[in-house]
Amino acid sequence: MNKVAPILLGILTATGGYLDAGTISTSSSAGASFGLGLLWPVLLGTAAVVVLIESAGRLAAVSGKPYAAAIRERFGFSFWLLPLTADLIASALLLGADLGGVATGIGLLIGHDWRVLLPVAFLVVWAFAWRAPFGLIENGPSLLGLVALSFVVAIPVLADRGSPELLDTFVKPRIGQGELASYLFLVAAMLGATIQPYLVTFYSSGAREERWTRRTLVTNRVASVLGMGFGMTTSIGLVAVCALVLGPAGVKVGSLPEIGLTLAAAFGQVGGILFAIVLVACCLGAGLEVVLAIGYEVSQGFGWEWGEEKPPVEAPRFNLVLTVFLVVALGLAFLVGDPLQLALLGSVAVALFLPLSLAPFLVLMNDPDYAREERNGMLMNVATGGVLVLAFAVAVVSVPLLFLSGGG
Amino acid sequence: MRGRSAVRLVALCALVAGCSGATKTPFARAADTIAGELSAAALTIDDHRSGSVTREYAAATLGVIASQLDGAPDELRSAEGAPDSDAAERSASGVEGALAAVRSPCLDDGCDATGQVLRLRAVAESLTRLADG
Repeated sequence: MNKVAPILLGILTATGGYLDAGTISTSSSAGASFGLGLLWPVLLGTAAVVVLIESAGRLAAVSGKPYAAAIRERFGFSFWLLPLTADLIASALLLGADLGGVATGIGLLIGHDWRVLLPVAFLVVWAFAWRAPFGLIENGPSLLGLVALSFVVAIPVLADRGSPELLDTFVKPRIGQGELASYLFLVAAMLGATIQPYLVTFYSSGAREERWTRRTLVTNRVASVLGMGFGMTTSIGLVAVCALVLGPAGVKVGSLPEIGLTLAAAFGQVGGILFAIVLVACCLGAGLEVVLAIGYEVSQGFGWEWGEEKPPVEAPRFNLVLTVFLVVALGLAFLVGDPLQLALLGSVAVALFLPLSLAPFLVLMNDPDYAREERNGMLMNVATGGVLVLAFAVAVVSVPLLFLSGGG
Repeated sequence: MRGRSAVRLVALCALVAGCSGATKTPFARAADTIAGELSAAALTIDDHRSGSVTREYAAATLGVIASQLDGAPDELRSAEGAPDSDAAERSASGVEGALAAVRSPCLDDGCDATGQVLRLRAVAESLTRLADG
């Protein structure tokens, strides 16, 4: 097997999953409002998601079953409905936000209202999900998503705007009077935006699409660390440039296009175009991952034919689920009318349901019928347990903080 | 019983958070958000004036900001926690004036982009002062 393919899957999972409308919204709000004081949730969330992604790839490679199918088989249909329902709600919001992100990106390039372009975004995502082979879905947004490194490259260009006070916020966050709830809300939303259950479903199903075996395990480790590391690097870059440009200008990031002003400050007109491309690439990649993850999850649970490599006629119900779910997300995007707000709500919904989606990991990764001789060792069990404790804490506080902070 | 305890816990958290200054009043939150949007509008017009963003980018961004600010003056008038009703009315009037610049931004020659930027920044700063108490 080509060893590059799993690494590309890792980078796609990161480009489309790590860096999606949710992460772009929460990271930029964090940087603009609290300087570097919210870099730690990026680091913590990345460590958590590396643990989950590596486990999902290992499970799929060793057992031959993706995560959703394993849950359905090991815990039964009734239990499987719980994470499915949670994922459907959170993913619909996130997919709506990603459709809005694609439309906003196109709108910034041609100077049109994003709402007019929402049907175009829907058609692009639907056409990829309906007919594109997995390899194209893997490579296209991955390569385009590399443009997201612009946020990192912009840091030295904008460095003269920095100050010792800004650097201090990394270890001592500057939280003003009445801002504690907003700070904590952003912590929960950033963790929710990073630790996405659909990443796990997509990655493990992608591993089956590419027929991973035990021989892919080392590559799986490299792919999960490299891919998520890539996502983390761009997310840190995003926080930093927003702290350097938007914070001092008093901008709190109320909409996606405002974020592009950071790259414009660094690279001029090219910067705005780069941001529009980043938005389209990341939200297209994420939209595809979300919609495919839902198609995989539903089809694997019901035992239907599934697979992006199969023509729609061979997996009709898988493709029907994709289409219906996209229509629902399009409706949500029109209804809420603000991709950034949808992304924040989606991130909070993910945070709320996180324990439901992730709890089965601890059992599956210790079950000899599934993980076989690649079962979790002590270290991975402690790490997975830590992720679950984190997920539970985030779930408990996310909704109260949403109301207390007024949504950040 | 457990559900009731959870509700009580959340209510207690809210009370503690509110009393200890962890949250802003609805008026302060609204003023803060609107100030952020007006600052973004000022930055966009200024960036276009200096050639940092294309006309297409600026127009699309300002269109989104304008829709975000729909109903902003009424929100300030009705939000609880304003220092006094005069302050709420003054800030709402200021935002109404600033909204005109956001809805009809100066993106071509022959209009006063600098004036719009200064006006937007002035209203944003006064709102931020109100929000910070």
